[in-house]
Amino acid sequence: MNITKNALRSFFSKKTQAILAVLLIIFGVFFYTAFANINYVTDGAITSYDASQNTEDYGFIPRLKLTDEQWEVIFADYNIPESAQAGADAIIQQYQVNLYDYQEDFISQVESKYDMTVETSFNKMLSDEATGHQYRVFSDTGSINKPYIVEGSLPTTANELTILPEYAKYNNLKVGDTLEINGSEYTISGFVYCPAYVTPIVTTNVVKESSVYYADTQSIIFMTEDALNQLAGQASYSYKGKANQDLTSAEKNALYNRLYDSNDFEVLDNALDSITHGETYRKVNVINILIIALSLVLCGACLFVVTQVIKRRIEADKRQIGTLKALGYKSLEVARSYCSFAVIISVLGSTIGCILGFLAYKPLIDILYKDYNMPMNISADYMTLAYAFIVPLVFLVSMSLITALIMLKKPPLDLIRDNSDSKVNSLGRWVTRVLRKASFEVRAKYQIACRSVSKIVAMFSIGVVASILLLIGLVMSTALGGMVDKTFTGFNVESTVTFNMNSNINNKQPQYEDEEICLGKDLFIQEVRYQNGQTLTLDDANRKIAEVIGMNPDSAYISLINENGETINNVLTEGVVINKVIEGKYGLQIGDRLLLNSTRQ
Amino acid sequence: MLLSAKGLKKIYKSGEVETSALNGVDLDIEEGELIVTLGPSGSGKTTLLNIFGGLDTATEGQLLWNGKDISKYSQQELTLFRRDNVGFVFQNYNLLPNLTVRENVESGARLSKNPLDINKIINTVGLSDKKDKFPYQLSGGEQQRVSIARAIAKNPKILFCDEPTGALDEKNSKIVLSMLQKINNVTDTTIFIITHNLGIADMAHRVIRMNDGRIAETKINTSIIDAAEIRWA
Repeated sequence: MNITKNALRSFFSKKTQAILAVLLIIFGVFFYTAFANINYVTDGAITSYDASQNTEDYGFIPRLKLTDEQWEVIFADYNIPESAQAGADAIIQQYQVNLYDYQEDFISQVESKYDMTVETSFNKMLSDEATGHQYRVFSDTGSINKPYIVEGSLPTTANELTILPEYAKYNNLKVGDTLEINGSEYTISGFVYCPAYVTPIVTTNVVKESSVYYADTQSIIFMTEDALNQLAGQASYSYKGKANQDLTSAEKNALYNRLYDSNDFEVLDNALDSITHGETYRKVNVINILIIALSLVLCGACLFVVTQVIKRRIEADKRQIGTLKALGYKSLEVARSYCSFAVIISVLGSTIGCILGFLAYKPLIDILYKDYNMPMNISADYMTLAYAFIVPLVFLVSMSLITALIMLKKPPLDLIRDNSDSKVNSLGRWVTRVLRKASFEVRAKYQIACRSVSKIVAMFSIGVVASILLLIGLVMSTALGGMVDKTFTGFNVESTVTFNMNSNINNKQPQYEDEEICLGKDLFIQEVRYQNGQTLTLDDANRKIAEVIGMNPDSAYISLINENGETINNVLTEGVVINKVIEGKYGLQIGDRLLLNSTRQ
Repeated sequence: MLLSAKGLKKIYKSGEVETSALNGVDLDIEEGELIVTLGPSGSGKTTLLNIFGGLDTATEGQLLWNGKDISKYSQQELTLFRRDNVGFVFQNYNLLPNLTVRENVESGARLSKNPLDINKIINTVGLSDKKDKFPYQLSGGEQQRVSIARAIAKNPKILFCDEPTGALDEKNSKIVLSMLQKINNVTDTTIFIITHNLGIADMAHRVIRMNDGRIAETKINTSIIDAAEIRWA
């Protein structure tokens, strides 16, 4: 006990070394406990959310495959005269035909062929004229994608609705309050998540730096089916499919490939690649890699620092150690006393690191997953506590013990008589040889410098470790900071763009109003160079006619589709894509060149 | 016979150069003896003390402890030998600087199955009012008294003192030597002192003079004087 006390007092007389070692452990344990708990919560959340809400495996829109007999039925049902029976698009547009009612046979085939349950999903977009707030409205039907009630209940009457909790928070709304939309008043019956939709507005163009959608002005709403039908506007239809068997991720992906290869679907989404699933798991995986990488680096740094500290202490205490051994203390007893330092800094660092980690993981979840609209049942994984204490303790103590035992192998007399102060290291001997003809002052100066070579090496090592940590910190902060944006966008944009609310699935003609499609802020066409050699330079008044957003050609979520339904993202690597309005306005053809200019640097 | 050396030789090798520190030492030490060993620097007295104390091993010869040959002991066996039987007092005290007087003494006592009472020892060395002080707060004489207290706290059978007054003035030296004499008288602990100081020889039961790695002379004192009355050389 007394020799342990002696060793500890010896260690803590050099406070900087001890503090550095403790700080490293604190940082490592904090990082591990915080992020391991974040992963524990999110992994558990997504899994239980899927199970409890019976989340869809695939969302799809089938290709229109109607037989002549079915068309006859449609013409009869909608009283379409023979003269108007031209193209499907025109019929759909002119007579507001809902063709999905005529796809039942196909859906039955899908169910039996792929062993899945398929349900129809429809919703309407709603925009409040007074506030400009935007809503995607569902009714609660079916067994797939069951709404998740955070508070209150689902609506039971036509004048009730539910909203997203985030929207309620931003607008200071409570259950029982009234929400007015386009002159109609609705009572808020609850706060509810919709498993199929993370963002209320589908989402190609909504890019924000701090959020993936405008939680203060956009929400998902649940109403009764009657109330939804009474709303103006046409519903968007799609289908949600759920495999009847419990499938692994690999099996789900395989089934997705089969569905895709069948070419039966106009649109086909794999839920595993959806924002909720794909990005949650992607984030979990990224964090897992960061945990492993940084924990290893920090563990290595801790080991290095602590063994160096112990080594230096033992070097400095050689005479004391020799005396103890002369008195009859065994090497193991003395080594153990020096390991007490590792035990104390490890326990101290782990305790503080754990406390900080457990305090931080909830706010970090809020930051990292605030836009996921997914229930997060916050419960800590107490196994992380065990690892956070045991791993540093075992590593540091065992390495310290090995280091100490190696150094204490010498017999007591050698330790007592240690004359390391008067020894000259090999560098010093070499310098003496090289400088043997130099003046005394020069030789003395460089000899003294050589005596500090171990300190110089130690400082250099600490500098290298600190730089590595700093670098990792920067990488992490960049990775985590950009994660939300990259997660949801797949874009590479530098300005916010406005989503055009007025296009929908059955209205093929976009209504651009006063905004061009994909309007950005500061990037615009300055000059057009036609293939025939003519050039059109736009004056200031006409410049702000069209602006450009960037888009990742590898985007998993947003695809450029041509009129044949083919993905043409690859053209982005060869040039720019413009919309029909600009094409028409300037008579542009493929191959013309645009000179783009930005007001920003 | 507590300790018996027969034909002890010690040769130090440094590269190809061999230096002979002991050239065949024969010596028997009885229990309860106070032996003072004199000799010039390089005569081999410290080497002899280190080998007797189990800090070093002889190159040749036999060393018997209570009739048992310990000359071929391993480092671990020597550690246990020192732990159970031997106390050391060093010229430079070698106290543990981060422990108080009491804790230093305890660090010796803890090694023994049959330690002496720590408070009594601290009283005996006259440091009861300084037992919570750290070594740097003590004078050289006081530090050496702590060193003696630590050495005897574990109740050793033999106490080896390597120049115990080498760093002290006359007054403090006499205090320290008086203590050693008192310990020898009261506890019957065998004490083996090596010194340059001829005056110290007068307090010993037996005086050994060493020269060139051999025992040059052994003298048994017929009249032993009190350490306080030593004629300081």
